[in-house]
Amino acid sequence: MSLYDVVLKNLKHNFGRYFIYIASLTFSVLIYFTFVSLQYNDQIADAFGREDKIGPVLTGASILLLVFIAIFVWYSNTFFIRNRKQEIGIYALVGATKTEIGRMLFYENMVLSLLSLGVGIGLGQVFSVFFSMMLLKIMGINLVVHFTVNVIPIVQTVIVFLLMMLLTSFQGSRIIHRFQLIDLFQAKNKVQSVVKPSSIIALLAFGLLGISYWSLLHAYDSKSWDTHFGRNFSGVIILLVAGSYMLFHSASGLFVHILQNKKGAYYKWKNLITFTQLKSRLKSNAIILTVISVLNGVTLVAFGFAYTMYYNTLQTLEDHVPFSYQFEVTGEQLNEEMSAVLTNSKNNSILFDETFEYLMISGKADDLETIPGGYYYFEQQFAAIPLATYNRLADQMDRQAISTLAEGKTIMLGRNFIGSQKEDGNVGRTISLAMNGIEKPIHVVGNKIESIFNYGVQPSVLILNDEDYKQIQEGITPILTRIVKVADQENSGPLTEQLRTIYEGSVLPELDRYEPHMDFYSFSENNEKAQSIYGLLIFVFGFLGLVFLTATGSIIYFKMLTETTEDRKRYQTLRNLGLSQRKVKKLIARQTIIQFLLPLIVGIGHSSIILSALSHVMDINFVTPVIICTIVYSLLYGGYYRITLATAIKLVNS
Amino acid sequence: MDVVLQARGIEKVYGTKTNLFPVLNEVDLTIHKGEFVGIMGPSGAGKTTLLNILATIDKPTLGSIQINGKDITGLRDEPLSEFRRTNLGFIFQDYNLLDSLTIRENILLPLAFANQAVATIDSKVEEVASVLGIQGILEKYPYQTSGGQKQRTAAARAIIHNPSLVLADEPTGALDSKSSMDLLNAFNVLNRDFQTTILMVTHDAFAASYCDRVIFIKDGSLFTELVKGDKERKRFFDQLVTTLSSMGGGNHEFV
Repeated sequence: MSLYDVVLKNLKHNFGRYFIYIASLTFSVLIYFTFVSLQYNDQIADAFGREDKIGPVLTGASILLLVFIAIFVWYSNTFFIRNRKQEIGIYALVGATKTEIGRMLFYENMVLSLLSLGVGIGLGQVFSVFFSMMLLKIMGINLVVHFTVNVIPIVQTVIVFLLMMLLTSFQGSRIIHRFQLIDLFQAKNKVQSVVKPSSIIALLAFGLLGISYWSLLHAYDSKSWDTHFGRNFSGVIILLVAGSYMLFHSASGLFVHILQNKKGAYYKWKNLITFTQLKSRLKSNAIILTVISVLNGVTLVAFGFAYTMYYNTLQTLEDHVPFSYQFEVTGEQLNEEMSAVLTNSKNNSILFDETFEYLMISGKADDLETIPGGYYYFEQQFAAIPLATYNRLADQMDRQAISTLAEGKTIMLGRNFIGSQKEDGNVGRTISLAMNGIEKPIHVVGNKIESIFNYGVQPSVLILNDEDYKQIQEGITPILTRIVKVADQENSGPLTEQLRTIYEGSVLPELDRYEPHMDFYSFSENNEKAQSIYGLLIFVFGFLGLVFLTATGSIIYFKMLTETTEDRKRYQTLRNLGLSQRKVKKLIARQTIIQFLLPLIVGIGHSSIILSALSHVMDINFVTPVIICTIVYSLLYGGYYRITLATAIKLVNS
Repeated sequence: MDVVLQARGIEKVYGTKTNLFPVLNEVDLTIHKGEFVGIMGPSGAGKTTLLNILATIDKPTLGSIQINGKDITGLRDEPLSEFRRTNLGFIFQDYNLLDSLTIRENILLPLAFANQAVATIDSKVEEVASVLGIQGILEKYPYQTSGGQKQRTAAARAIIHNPSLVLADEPTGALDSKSSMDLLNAFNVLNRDFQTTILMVTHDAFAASYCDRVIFIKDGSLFTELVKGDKERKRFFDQLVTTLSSMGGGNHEFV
């Protein structure tokens, strides 16, 4: 019987045991291949047209994915080999040389790898069609995706995985060379010494977590965060990871320790067994639970953030793009042509149609506490409108009118796309407007956090007393702009197209320079764009989130199975001592749920704090989307718990 | 004397329809309160199978078992576990201690299962630990103790809840002779001072010589029975060895 026969026999006979390993390899191939396929899909690339923003996002994500998959494949391989040490030991015992065993393991791993590679790519072909459709759907693009076979992603996947699998195959065959025979037999029987939990480290854990939470929650009005965001953020992340590790390492041990002194609770048999088991595995638990809680946290932050952006941008787009259309009134003829199209529109009747004028005026903003967005973009100019105009617009848009505004005073108006603003910002400060060579001081008395433009970049607006406006008007050509609101603006694409054609045909050829106010702006185009950008974002993050979840779940799954195998005898002892099967099941469930719940809770804790800090800084409401995300994540995670528990129980009873 | 255990017509057959393999054949056994009974026999005679069946861990193919007058053969898992927990104590060759629990925690486990009060648990642990001479190692973990200490811990765990019957499967199998003697002496003390009923499976004639009565099994059936009576332990030992030799196949099993 040659070595190959042994390898094949081994494979055939133990297929069940190999299944988990093959499944995780196949899963990795499948995920990677699907992702790379999306990257190279012509139909998707076409759907995006010239705006080639999908490429870089997908490339970045695929690199992240690769790193993650590499860790996962490595972990699965280690798990697989560790569980076979005894078998390998027997081969050695009956006289196979180390080289032979090493070669056997190498061949075997290569066979498994090639098998998973084939199955993974095959399944990936099907999945990539499904995911393409999902991506386009989320991005709001209607397109039927065809089944295509593209060679590039196949080649790329094969190369990447062959390399990875060669490495793991070598790792496996090296194990036999590294270990003494006796180690291979004792692999499963190593008793971990019980570490004495240190209350200092436990306190330190709470200290570190407390500091990072406090710092994150105060990032909003902290000078240090304002100037050193990157540095502070990295620092906080390191503190969080270190704190979590200490938490799992010592604080949980300390908790058991404290409980041990409360004998009434400790001597409850369930507590006695569960907590001592927890304590006995602190060393190995600490690292893995930290890794998992960090992964949980990262997934939740990434997905929560992406979903929030998607959810909020579409919900709050009207705050930034308040009108269905805005364009400059440059001549009577064009204006009438546009009106004709607008009035003829059946699906999108006009809700309001106004024309207003404003001035761009230079002003010194040195005295201001925070320089408003757009100030430098518009070459240190402000847009000025008289109070009457504002009130006319406010009336149409259902906004709060301003009753009085004294001479020499101004209320500033503007809304940041990202970044928080304060109602009383700059109040009491002075802006000097340049007026015919002299400077006119204007005092800021208030702020309106809203927008009166559709422009992509918006100037900061000063609402002035009507008399002041008249004064500064001299010598400046006002800009006349028309704003229209139509019904059902989310579905006004065709109307937009008509209007744009007319506008561009008439205005743009005459332009010798470009300024934001000269363009044509629509809500529907902005909406489409936002949906496609944030749709892509949520798809990529969702995809990564799903992969992270699966991998995290699998790592706990592997860990639990390894431990349960080690603990089989212990459960048998408990059965002998008089625990019924039902109670042993309960005990396993308790053991498993702790391993799942602890890192989930810590992960949710970290991600909520980070997201709430982000929400404060960016002034975006995260609560609803993040709650939705967390619930969805926890449910999927719960599914993993159930699978793991079922397998563990089967393992103990077999 | 009260009957603690009464087994009638115990049969055990392993295997599937085509390949039946009988292990026990019509075994009857009666044990009275306060007895220290040994079961001996060559390898493969069915000693451990019999013990497992009496311990309710395994089920007989035929026959009935009554412990304290209660028929346990038809019981389902839940009541059976409950029964095992309150009425039986176990000692195994490989100790079966839980690694992650201290010696104290291992001993008190049966009382924790029975939801006893903390004060009761603590005083009980001290009591059995002093009888078995392991007070000094209560806060240690099993891996920090010797084989003999582990086995005495297992013995303490087996008797802490005052079971009607303690079942020991080759308890001295992994111990050196000094530790074996300590353990067997402890059994005698428990048996004499606490009226603990003990059923011990062993292939070691020396261990068996501590019993009041030894039952021999051969090929799944009862072979004979020796009672110690007023004999010296040394003489009882010689008798046991002679009987074993006469059974054949057992010669190599004792030293």
